[in-house]
Amino acid sequence: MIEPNPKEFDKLQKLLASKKKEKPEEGFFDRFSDQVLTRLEEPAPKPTFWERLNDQVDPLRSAAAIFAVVIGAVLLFGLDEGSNMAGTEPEPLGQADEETSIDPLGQRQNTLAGSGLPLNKSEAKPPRILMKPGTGLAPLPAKVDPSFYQDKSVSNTIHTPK
Amino acid sequence: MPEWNEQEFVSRARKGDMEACDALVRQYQERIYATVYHMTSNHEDAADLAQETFIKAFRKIDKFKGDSSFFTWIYRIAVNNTINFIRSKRRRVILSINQMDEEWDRGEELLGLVSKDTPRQNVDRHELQGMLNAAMQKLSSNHRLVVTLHDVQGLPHEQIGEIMDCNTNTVRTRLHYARKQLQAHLSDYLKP
Repeated sequence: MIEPNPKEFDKLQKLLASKKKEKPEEGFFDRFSDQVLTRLEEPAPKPTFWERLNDQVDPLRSAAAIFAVVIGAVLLFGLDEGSNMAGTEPEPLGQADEETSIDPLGQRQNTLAGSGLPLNKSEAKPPRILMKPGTGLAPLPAKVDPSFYQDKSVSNTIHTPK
Repeated sequence: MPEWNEQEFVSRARKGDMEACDALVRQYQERIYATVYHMTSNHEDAADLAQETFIKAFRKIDKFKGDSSFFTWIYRIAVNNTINFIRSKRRRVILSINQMDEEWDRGEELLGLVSKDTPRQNVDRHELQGMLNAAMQKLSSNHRLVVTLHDVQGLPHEQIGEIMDCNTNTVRTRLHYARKQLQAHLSDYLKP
């Protein structure tokens, strides 16, 4: 937005000040007080529920109370959820229930994820090595030189360089 | 003429003394009416809202704790009442502008403010007055309020802050933006 031009601003201020001269018809203020007092003596209209609530409850305190209740409810809910989780047996890795595990790529439905196209998938299982690392390999005995384990500390043999 | 003692009239009004209520209304009616009128640019709405302001004030006078002057307190009621009213009928703004003082009417002061170098130089006083009120209606209620209280009614920033429940810097900032917007709306008339 453009910065105000000082000359224009001066004119604007004078124009605004001229609004003071806008007055209601003559005699308006002579009658005004009587009209107010007449209306004041009439029975007050019954306040609505919201007006009564607004009169009786401090908005700041009620906002603080609502905030505290919400925080309390969240904490209670959080603690309850935490105790539920602690009550269930943790399952060993790799043995989680397949039915409950998520399937984001839609492979369980034999479709390509997101496309709905059938996935040409045989019931082939992944290599066993990926399921249980180390399976399928024949155990090999370790090749160790037996002389390595011989206790040489008690020997009085003096090794001299040849 | 006896000295005006606001506290005394307020405490008498609390006890239901109608003479005291009458004195308080007469003391502030013109300023309250003017504030509401400049906010709404409609005489009938302003008359009704100004009456409502005093009625609300007297019905709730027990809640007036004296933290501020009665004048500031009643101004706050008027301002809140008017802002709620403006929000409730945002799309239905009908101008009903009062006539200017006769003395002012005869003078050429107002028209002297219009630039001679603009296509609008042949504007008459009523048109200019209407344009100003229409421009005021384009401002947000908070901006309109600071312009009304400061530039039209001449209240100091501190008192406006008390009425609007904000600090003086906020008042100054709002005033600055409100004037810039008014200048933009009235630029055809006010070019130097």
